[in-house]
Amino acid sequence: MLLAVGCWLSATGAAGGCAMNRRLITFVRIVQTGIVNFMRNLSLAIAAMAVMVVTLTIVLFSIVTNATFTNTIAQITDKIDVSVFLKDSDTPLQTHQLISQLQALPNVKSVSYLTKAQALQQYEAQNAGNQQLLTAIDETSNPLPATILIKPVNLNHIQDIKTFLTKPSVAALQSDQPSYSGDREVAINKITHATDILREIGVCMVIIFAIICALIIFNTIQMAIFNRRDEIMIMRLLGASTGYIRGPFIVESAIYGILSTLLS
Amino acid sequence: MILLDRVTKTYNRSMGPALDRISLHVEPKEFVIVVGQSGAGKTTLLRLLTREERPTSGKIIIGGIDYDKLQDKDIPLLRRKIGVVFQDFKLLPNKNVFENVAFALEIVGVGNREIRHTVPKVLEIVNLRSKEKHMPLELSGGERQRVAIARAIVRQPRILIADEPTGNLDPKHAWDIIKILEKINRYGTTVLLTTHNQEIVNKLKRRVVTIQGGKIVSDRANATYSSK
Repeated sequence: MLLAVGCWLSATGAAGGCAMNRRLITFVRIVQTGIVNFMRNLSLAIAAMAVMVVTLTIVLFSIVTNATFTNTIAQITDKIDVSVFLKDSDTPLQTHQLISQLQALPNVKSVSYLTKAQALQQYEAQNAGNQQLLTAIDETSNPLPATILIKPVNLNHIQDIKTFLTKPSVAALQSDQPSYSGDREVAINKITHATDILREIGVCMVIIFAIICALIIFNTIQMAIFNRRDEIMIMRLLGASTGYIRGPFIVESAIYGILSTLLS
Repeated sequence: MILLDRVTKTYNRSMGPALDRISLHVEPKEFVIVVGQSGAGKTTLLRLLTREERPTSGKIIIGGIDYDKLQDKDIPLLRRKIGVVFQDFKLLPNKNVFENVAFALEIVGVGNREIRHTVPKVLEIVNLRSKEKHMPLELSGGERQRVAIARAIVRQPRILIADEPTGNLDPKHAWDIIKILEKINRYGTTVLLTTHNQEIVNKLKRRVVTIQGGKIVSDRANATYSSK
């Protein structure tokens, strides 16, 4: 059917050129018309774009905030670890077993081991300014215990590790309570909860503003279509294809979007 | 060229059909006048031919295209084959005379060089060569209608449909339009003209199809017509 109509069309000879060339010309004209329409509706365009710029700025702002929070949380999480202090009497085998068991726990990201000597070194490095303390430590035989440092995957589920460490068989190996307990734990929990909530709010904001932005563009183009419905009807009666009628509106919307993004 | 076989169009069941089993055959290069009172069904008939409406029943074949087999995506191709002139001109107000005529070529992807070559020739036919830079609002009704005719014929359609082209014009301008339509017909285009101006019908002495209440009540060559 299409072929028959097409043949009839070319038979009249009103339109020349090969099909490819014609498609290119049509495409160029669609883009041109889109730009011209954009210029003609400049006042409407500016109003619409102003709203879009504001919305997009807010969207960008929430995305940046969100990213910052996520980054901060990651940094905090990375710095927090659980220290397990071992008794001097523990055998190397017991220590080794404990490390393997800890590594097998689902919420454990990494486990590292500090010997008594390493723990002393670290302590000395941390307190390098305090000469009195250092001499005091030198006079005793190394008072620091061997330490296992555990980095958790998720701070909110640190309870799993705690449960494991308070088991009587495990607790028997430790010289002291693990160091996450007390105030530090409460602080960690508060930070993680707060950041989780903030992240959720951020995601919601981004979604809401994205929807608002889409609606504004949609409405502006609707108005443009409504303003030009006579023109569209004439184009249709003259045999313009659906793509040719629709094309300029798509170009126009794209210009709105691109310009607003650049401005914001 | 145009074949209608028992075409019925019903808009609203309780109102009865707007067109009732219309059968009509128009030969190539014929000049046919369709007359009838307002509401008789003339406009419905033309809207069926341009496929703005689908018939409720019956068959329409134009230039070998069977409307039953025509898909929606091919409608633009069909409309490019038929030139249409409307009573209210339907010119684009923000384009000048030249651009309005060129527009019909632009939408089918004709190159710019060919547009610059073809449009002045067509404006010559309707005697508007000197006003090609004018905007539609600066023209008289008769001139506007001539622009519309130029736009309709610039793609060299085989069929020109003119729906009351003189309805908004005074008698002198109306007659100018009719003379242009006759000229186009002499070049070999089938012309279908609707009017209720009996003076024009009687002067033209062409085939006259009279529609009344959605039915063809007479179809005579060299006919005259009285609107009373």
